[in-house]
Amino acid sequence: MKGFWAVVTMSFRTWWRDKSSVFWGAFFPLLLMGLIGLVFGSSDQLRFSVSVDALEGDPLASGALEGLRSVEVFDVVVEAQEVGLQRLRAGERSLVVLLPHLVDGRPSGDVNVYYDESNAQVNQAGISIVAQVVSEVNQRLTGRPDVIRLQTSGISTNDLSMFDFLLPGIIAMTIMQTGLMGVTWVIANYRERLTLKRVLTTPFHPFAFLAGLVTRFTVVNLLQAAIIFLVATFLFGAKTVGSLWQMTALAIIGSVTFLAIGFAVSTLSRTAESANNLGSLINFPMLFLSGTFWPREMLPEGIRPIVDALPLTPLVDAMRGVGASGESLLAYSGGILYLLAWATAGFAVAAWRFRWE
Amino acid sequence: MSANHSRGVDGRQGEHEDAALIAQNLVKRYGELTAVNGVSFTVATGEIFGLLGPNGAGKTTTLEMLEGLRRPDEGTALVAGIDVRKHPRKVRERIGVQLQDAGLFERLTVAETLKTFAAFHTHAQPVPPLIERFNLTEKAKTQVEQLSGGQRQRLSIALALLNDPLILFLDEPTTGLDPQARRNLWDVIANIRDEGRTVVLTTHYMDEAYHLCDRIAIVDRGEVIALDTPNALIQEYASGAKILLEIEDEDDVAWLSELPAVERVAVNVGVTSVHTTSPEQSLPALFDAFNQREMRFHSLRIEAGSLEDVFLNLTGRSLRE
Repeated sequence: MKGFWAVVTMSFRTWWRDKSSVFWGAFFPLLLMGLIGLVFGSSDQLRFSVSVDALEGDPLASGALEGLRSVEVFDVVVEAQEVGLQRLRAGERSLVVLLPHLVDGRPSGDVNVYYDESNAQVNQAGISIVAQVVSEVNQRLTGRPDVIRLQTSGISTNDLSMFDFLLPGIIAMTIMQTGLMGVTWVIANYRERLTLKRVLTTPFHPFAFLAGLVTRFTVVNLLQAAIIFLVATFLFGAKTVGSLWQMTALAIIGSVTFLAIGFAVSTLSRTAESANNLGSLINFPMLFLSGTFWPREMLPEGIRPIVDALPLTPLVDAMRGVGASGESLLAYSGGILYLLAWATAGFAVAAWRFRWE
Repeated sequence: MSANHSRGVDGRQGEHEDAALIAQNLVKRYGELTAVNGVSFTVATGEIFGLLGPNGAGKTTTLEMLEGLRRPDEGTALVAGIDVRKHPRKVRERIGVQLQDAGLFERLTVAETLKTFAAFHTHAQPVPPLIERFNLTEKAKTQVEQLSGGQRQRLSIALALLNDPLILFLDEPTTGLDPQARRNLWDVIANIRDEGRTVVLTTHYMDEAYHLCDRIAIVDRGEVIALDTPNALIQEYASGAKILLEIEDEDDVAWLSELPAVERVAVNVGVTSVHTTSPEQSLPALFDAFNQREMRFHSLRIEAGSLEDVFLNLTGRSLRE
């Protein structure tokens, strides 16, 4: 057991000290995500179409309405709440604001704001402006800060933002690359430099050595996924509605699967160089075909059977289903079984073909 | 002669009860090629035993069969009392192995490397004294990729000593090192022998075999062709000497072979070498002959027989080829 942990520690240290692998592992995917998001992403205009439902002639409502109208980036449309919500769902409105009126000199309720959940950046900016207006109205009307308060509710539309769509795909891609490029290179390199053979000169069991490597690569995968998740969420405003635990479970399953495939690939080539090339050869088609960056529906019908057979496809599907659509992991059990079949096949080939030098 | 070579001059035969290692008729084939063809020898406890031979002679393959890394096609070996064929992994608890330029984890420091490998052994020596002993204290926090060739080799041998082994196997330990680093490593290895361990090493350097090894097996084309102490080998297979001359007219040297005790004469890059079984007889006759012919030579040197000559005499080829 101490040997196993020594391998994990060793492997972690060498990874951390190789700054290029840290860059490629975590920051490259983010860079890719930012660029794709910028190019194809949102048509987020800096104007907000705000639907306001206010009781006509009511001093409180008209004061607030005036306040909202004075905001330069708001295009205020006065309409019934039902109409506003319908148009919000259709994507024609950014926000729907329901203003209270005075009943016996007191506000009838709070300010209700409805927004599009799939458009986080827009609604955060919009809501904060509405909040400012509300607090100004408070001050002006009563001199007290909180006669009325702001209440917001999210309305789910079926339109995902580009970043919501990209995040699960990018995480799946990173996991695949660690397996196909990272582990393949490391193993082939250890073999080429006779490091594996040197380990073999000790009584330490070689499979414990490999288990240590699998562990460290899985941990690094989770770490990279966490960094990508945090940056994507807080910088790009990507939203994840599903369970993070289920996402983590998926990341581990995907990690082990692609590590197994990476091990198998590394046994097929003699040098680290050729192992890396072989890894790239498998890596890149999957990267573009499995729906990492754009929906698979955009691909020609003829290649769909091939695309569906690629092991990255079920991982991307499950990640996106859980992450972006909030579905349960169980809905993807078929895909997960398919991944595990690949994992078994990968380890079997690796065990059969593995050479220490 | 080096001070290290104070032991084993009397030709220990190694057939003692306390043999550290017994190799019997080891054979290893790779397809058509027979890399090792029936190698047998016995190594006594506490000696430095060298396998000397050209590249591709089968030295490394022999060593790796003894280490339990390769399974012999035929033959057996008893290493530190364990049958390698039956228990290749168990043997590794009792031996230390240094592989020819085997990879280290480049981005680990010296201390981290030792600690990592220590964890691979059931029982390992404490790391700090090893670092000190191998003169690596200043480099303990340096990453392996920044070490010099000599420092790498010292680390490599320190790794092989981690489990306090009975037998230490070193494959070409000084290849690629500068002369000073080489001498330094010879001291290190002799020191390991002096604390009671047995050392088995391969080399293709004659001087290394001569100065460092107590006994040598000369290996060629997968077979042991001679085995004894360095001096006994020279005595037996290269007892004569070479008279090395630089002569003005080197086209006409055939008459030199007529001189007493001269076996043959060869000319190589301006140097005429006269091989003699007895310099005492050949030299006076040589001087007389030069006087009579009114010829002159620019320089004259006498070289005693070496392991190089032993190899040449045994195989008809130079070890350097």
